[in-house]
Amino acid sequence: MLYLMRAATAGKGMIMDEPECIALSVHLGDEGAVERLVRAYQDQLYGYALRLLRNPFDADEVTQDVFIRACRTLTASYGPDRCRQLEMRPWLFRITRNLALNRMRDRRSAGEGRFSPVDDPDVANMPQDEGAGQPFQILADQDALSRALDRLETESRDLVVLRFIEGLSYAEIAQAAGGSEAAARAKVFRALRRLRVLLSEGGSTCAVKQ
Amino acid sequence: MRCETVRRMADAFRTGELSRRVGERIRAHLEDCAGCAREVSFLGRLAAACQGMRTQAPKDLLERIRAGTSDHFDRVQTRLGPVWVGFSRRGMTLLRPGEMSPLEFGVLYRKIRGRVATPAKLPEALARAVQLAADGKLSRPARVDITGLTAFQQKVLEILQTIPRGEVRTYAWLAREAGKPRAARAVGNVMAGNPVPWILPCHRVVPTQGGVGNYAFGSEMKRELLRREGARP
Repeated sequence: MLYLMRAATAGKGMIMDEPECIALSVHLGDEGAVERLVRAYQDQLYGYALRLLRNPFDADEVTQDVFIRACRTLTASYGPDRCRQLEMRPWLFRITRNLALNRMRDRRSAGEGRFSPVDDPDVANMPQDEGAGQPFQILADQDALSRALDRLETESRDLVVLRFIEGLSYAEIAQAAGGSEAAARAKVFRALRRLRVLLSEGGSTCAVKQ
Repeated sequence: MRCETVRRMADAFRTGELSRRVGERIRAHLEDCAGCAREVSFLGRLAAACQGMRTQAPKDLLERIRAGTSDHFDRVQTRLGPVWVGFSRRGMTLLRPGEMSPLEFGVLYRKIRGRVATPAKLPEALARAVQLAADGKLSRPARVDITGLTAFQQKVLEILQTIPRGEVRTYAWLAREAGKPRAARAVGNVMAGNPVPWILPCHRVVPTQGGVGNYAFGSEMKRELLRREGARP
């Protein structure tokens, strides 16, 4: 019987290594369900928000808001069936993404915008040079990688973080950021090309220092 | 397969996310093309380096989320007897006069408000408002949280709060004020479903034809509340 149930849920694309359906537990108000949900995803969502917003205070507030909204939606808006079919991880990443992007927009319109590489014509118009080489050695330097990520435009940074830091599958990225799986692959491909340009630049300055 | 095509799919290939057929073709290409093989290896190294950049959430995040996701309830003793009060960070969410066990109120809370509530101390200002209401002395609106109700319910309950202490209005008046003059009966239903009686003063709404009319907790309590407020229906 258990085998049959697993087979049935696998067909719906549920996450198999989840021992319980956490969405349903939260919906039903099970003891400790909210705590299990937060513990399972807080580091990933906070890390993602921090990389997007580049500001720990905003990332903290956004992550808190994500969980509060998610729990309210699961208990007050979604029924048991919808909870059972929910793919929790991409769903939470989507909420985080929306709230973080909203906050960036608010911050910009409030005139609090700090220096953003998107506004820097030198970076924005940099040639997308395929022949930038394979900056393998740069990968050993975590700071250089981190700096390059921070200089990446929001849209590219979003995708590189989802894919490479948080380790989402392309199917999950498609759910979190919208669009098809093939579109997600194409967007990550383009984002990587930009990252590579920034990495090789950071690499040359490092080389000069040495 | 062209190198360009292979490179576009190299990352999905790395994690085994492509169909078997496409995967086989890419594998075959990589055996002959050192450049593309180096690309796959670069992506693997990049992913490994990025793994090291994962962050931990602040330690107190869970505590703050727990406070924000759960509603609470408490029991207040008033001169009209015991009252159970559910509340969120925004204000009172449910009020029920009468004797009841915490478990019974918890079940009722979930049924009516669709959320989980746990026992906690009612903030002093809210407890005071409940006691003032029981004495017929609540003259300023207290904080309530009526999120999750329909727009019509919220509108009617907001107008309800404008009826001054010591006065009454009819269901027909409330319907007109809400912009639906023919919906006196619907207004009656909103009153019957008022989650926070006493505080949202549905006892101040009476039938056009006279008398105090119905009350969820008995006409006697409605008459008593109005008497304490000094109203003459």
